[in-house]
Amino acid sequence: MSDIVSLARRVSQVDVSPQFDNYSKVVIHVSDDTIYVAGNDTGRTLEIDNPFGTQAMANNMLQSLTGYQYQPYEAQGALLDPAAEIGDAVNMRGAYGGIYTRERTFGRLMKADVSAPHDEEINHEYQYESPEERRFTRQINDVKASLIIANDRIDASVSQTGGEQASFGWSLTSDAHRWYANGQEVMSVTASGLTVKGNVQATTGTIGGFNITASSLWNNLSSFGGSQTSGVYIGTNGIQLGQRFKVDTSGNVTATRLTVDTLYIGGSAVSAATLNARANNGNSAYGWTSSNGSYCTGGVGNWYGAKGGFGSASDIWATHFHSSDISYFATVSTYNIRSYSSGATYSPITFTLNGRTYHVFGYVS
Amino acid sequence: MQQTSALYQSILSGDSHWFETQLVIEGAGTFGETDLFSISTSHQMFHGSPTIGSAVAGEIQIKMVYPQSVSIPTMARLMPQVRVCNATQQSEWLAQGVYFVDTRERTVTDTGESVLELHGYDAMLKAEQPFQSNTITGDSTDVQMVNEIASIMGVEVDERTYDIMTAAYTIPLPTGYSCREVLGYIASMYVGAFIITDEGKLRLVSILELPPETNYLIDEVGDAITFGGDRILV
Repeated sequence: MSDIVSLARRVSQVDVSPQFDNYSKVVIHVSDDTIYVAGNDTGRTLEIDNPFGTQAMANNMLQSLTGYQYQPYEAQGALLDPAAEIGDAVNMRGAYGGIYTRERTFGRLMKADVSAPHDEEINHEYQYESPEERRFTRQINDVKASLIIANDRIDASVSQTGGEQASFGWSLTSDAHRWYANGQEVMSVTASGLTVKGNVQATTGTIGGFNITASSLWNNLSSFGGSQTSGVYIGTNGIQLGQRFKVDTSGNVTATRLTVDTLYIGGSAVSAATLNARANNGNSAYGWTSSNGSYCTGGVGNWYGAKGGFGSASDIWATHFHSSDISYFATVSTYNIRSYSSGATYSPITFTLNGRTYHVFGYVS
Repeated sequence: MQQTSALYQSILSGDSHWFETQLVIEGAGTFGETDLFSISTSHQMFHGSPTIGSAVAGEIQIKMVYPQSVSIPTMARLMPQVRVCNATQQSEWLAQGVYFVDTRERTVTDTGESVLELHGYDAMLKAEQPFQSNTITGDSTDVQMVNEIASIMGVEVDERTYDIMTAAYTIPLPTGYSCREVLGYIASMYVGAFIITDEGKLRLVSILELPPETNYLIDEVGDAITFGGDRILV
């Protein structure tokens, strides 16, 4: 709490102005878009700029201002006790107010001019700003920029205090160059290298030994289809590893060797057991099942050792079938089977099944 | 008001008293009235008009005999002091501000005397630097922030400041703001201003802390009439 200093008549001149009216409203300007208001327009309005303002703060300020009336005065040539401080109250010639300015001249009398100034600039009863003031305020509020050059660093920042609440800045110190966005570090350059947090775009250059172009990322293999023994190409034409593996944009795979856990053909999985069966049946991958004409899976109706495989859409060629399959051909509308003996000239067995013509150059075993 | 001794108050209330001034210059010594031509100081809570949220630096202007035998260090502290005296007694020295040399100029009078003119600001000007702290790296309370800024400025916080700052407002990390701006914003929260006291401490003064007006029975020159040492309230 401040103290009261009684000057009484120990002052050369006193000018007292009427007290301000009571405050009834507090306005805190946080930014262009954010204003907190407490109270009503029945009295004086106290307006402040404060980026840390809150509604609770405005309410508290209004509550503390309730009943307060500012008393302007000016006292010249006051024999003021040197122990009096800024903020103390002074009582003189019927006036009572705070010591808010103090001009002292040191001497035997220690005279001072003290006052609570009257001039009002922002505490208006009618809130008015000229168009020029508003334009200037808007410009100041739109972008606030600073460049600080100190002996140990250089800081620059631009703060946009409009709707986006965006800001950007950088700091150059003896050990790092850091960039910030919205208060977070997004990039830094130190002796250890460059660190970027966020999106990176590059249309040329190198990264970790890989060359960057607008359409590819490559190392020792600058184009798809290149003949280099080793290298990597990842680009809009496909993916290639050296000479022996590549995938084009149509999905065609070229590989010297594939190791596959599950192979899908036409949407169906083909197991390793199936592939082994075909390999065991004369090392041929061709055949069909009697029921639907699909690929051979072994058992009744298998035709294996195919000579020509599926030579055409309507003709199947094979060299041998099991006698157990003969009964199946009872359902075949037309067929002709000739026996075969070793060394004899054979004639094709020809029959039609489901619209396909089958030719068997072989024998029944 | 500054705390003063009973002797100070006794001499001050006497019919015949005067003040003596001395100037302590850090690193250069103490200069009495025979060395001093004039000293004036200026303090204000506002930037010219009754606004809140200020942190205005106090100023001092000194004219003194040019010290031939000592040199005044760069940004030396200037500490004027006064005491009250009568014919037989002198009080303790009372601090009248702590300032730092800003500019100095040597002139020669018509009579050939060398005069040193010093101009200085109090420590509030040290708040005119970007807020940068190793202690506060995020949100803090207003009291924590004031303590940290005082530390940056190299001053103590006047204890009366804490009596006012009771709302414990949250202050976001004030990146890009100067210490003085932050002090101003905090001061506005409490409808006041920050100043540097005559003892060189950082103090928040609120315009709301004026005590209720009281009137005491006084004599013809304005001194309170006492009864058994107590003033008489009318």
